[in-house]
Amino acid sequence: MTRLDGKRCLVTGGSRGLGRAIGVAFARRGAQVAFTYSTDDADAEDAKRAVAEAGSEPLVFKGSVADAAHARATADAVAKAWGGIDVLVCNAAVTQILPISLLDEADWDLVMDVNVKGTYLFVRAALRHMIRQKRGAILTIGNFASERVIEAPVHYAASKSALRGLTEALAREVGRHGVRVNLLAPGLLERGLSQTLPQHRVDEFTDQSALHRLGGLDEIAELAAWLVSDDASFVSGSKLVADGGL
Amino acid sequence: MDVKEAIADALRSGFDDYQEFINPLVAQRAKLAGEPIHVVRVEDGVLVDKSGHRFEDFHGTQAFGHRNPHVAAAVRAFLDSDAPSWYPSRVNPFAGRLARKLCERTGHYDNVFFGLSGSDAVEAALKLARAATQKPGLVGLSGAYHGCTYGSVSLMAEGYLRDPFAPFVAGARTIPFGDVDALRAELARGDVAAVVVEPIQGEGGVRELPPTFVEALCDLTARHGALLIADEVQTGLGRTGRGFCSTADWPRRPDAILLAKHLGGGLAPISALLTKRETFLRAYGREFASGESHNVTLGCNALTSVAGLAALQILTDEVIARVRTEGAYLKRRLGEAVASSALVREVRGSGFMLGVALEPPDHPWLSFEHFGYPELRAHSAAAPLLCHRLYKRGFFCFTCGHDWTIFRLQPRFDIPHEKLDAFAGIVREELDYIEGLS
Repeated sequence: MTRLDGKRCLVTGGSRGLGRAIGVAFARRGAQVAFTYSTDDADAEDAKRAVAEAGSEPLVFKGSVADAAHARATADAVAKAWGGIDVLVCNAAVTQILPISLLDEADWDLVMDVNVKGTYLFVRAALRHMIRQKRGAILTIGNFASERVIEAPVHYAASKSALRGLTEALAREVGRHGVRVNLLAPGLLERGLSQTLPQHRVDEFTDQSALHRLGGLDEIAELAAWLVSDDASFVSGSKLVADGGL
Repeated sequence: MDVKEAIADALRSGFDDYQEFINPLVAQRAKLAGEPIHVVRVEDGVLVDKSGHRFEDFHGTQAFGHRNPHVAAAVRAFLDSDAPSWYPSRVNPFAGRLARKLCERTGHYDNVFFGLSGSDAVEAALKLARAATQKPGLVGLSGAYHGCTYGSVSLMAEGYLRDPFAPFVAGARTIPFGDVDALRAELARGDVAAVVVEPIQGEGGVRELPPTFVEALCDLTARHGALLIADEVQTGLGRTGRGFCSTADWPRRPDAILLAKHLGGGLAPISALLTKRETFLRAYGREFASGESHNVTLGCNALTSVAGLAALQILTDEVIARVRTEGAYLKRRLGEAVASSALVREVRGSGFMLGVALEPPDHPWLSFEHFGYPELRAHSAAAPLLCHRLYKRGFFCFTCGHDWTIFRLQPRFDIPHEKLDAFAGIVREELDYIEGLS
């Protein structure tokens, strides 16, 4: 099993879904885990308990990832508590299932704020510490919506495409400081977006994919753990699409 | 886990549980449409979601506002007493009191059957008609919605609410809405037990029966010995502002009327069939056993009856008068606000049962086909689109189930006057927005 012993990890959007699965997977591998969440205190409590049971008493921060002060304060608090940050996973994201005709400017701004600006703000906040310590791993969470020609909300797909550009350019910029930056793009998973789609849409996806099934949160969390681990020490600027072979 | 924890737990995880264990399609539709789903509390009769957004509910079942304090207090007081809720003899004193009060309020009926849903009342009415007349025919109108039990669905308008369940109850048939000649021909067959109508069709598009049809209906059913059954589940209990029930001024009072929706004050599921004692005895009075030929086990229970009694206490004549005047005001304000909108054909209805007839948006990207649901291409996206926009503005509005060009409004009876004004303006803004997309 990939080990993350002693890695100081910060996961945004860690109270549920994939973020929570990543927090648990990291803790199980010996990492120290901190996570952020935006609204649901009860979900955060649950996630905190799950991460603790997996081996790491987590630090938990509430706030919007699109809030620069929250990003800065969170990164600084983690660094202060643990002496640095080794891993940042930018997982927090929102989506709305909207055709372009109904996509308001406010909808566009919300998705871009959380998915893109939020990633930028946390990346910048964490990098201050990573560059000083001359090592680190950043993982952005993309989506197959930006990698395949599928029906997807255009603002969401655009935001995830933006993360690909951010990831590649950032990898080039900060590689000289020993910081790796990669993007993990999951396909349709058992939890999350698939639960919003009508069954025939989900069936279309599974029919067309090589593995004929949805992905599991734990399967994606495994990949995340590998990408931020020292086992992937020569991997940077990469995108890993895990969509069951679409 | 104590009760408070269980409530908190349900409000946290129950939404997902609904999708997983009850109906994934309803949950998905609500998400896709942008409906406010995670409502977690009530403030002053309106819904509040977990982010603090408030929503006026225009569905109509909550005519007294969500968690009306008077109804809640009555239910709480009953639960704090030591009175039984269910009586093995079925002779339930609370149901008896509620039946008396209901009959007194109608000023006409003197016999009541209680069920738990509108469909229960419809089913009871169909069986009452057959048992009383010894005839098989059950006649409904096109565009009808009477509920989802087999008798009800047999009179349903064609479409997704009816078609999967064929074959239907033998003898059930439909005539065109408002067609006097068809009614006359149908009754002339001599086998009709009942003609079932909604005074204003709800799901059929907030369509009111034409006065000439009502006159013929009252006359012809009496002449042919068929029961006239008015499904007042939507229109009754003050909703139209025309009185306690909306059929009181018909040339002949219907042989039976059906009530439900806010009869339980929004807290308890209860419905009622009101008829005349003579009709009841004609159907079931031959022997003791036949007195229980049709029953609903929990139909007479104290808890729902107490809620019903409390609901009747707050449904005063003054409240109904307010529904009439404020409903007329909303209709006028809406009419003025949308008068020049190319998307609006008509504002119709009565009291707080209004509908706005919409033209389909004139652009292919405002169609279900473009939205990725080609299977819905036969439906207009007009009303669903307006509802989608209004969720964002704090109004939980609805589309008529049989006619997706009609946007349906059934506000609570005590909605503040200024909110009606604001609503009319907001509807216009959102119509302009949609028109601007065309």
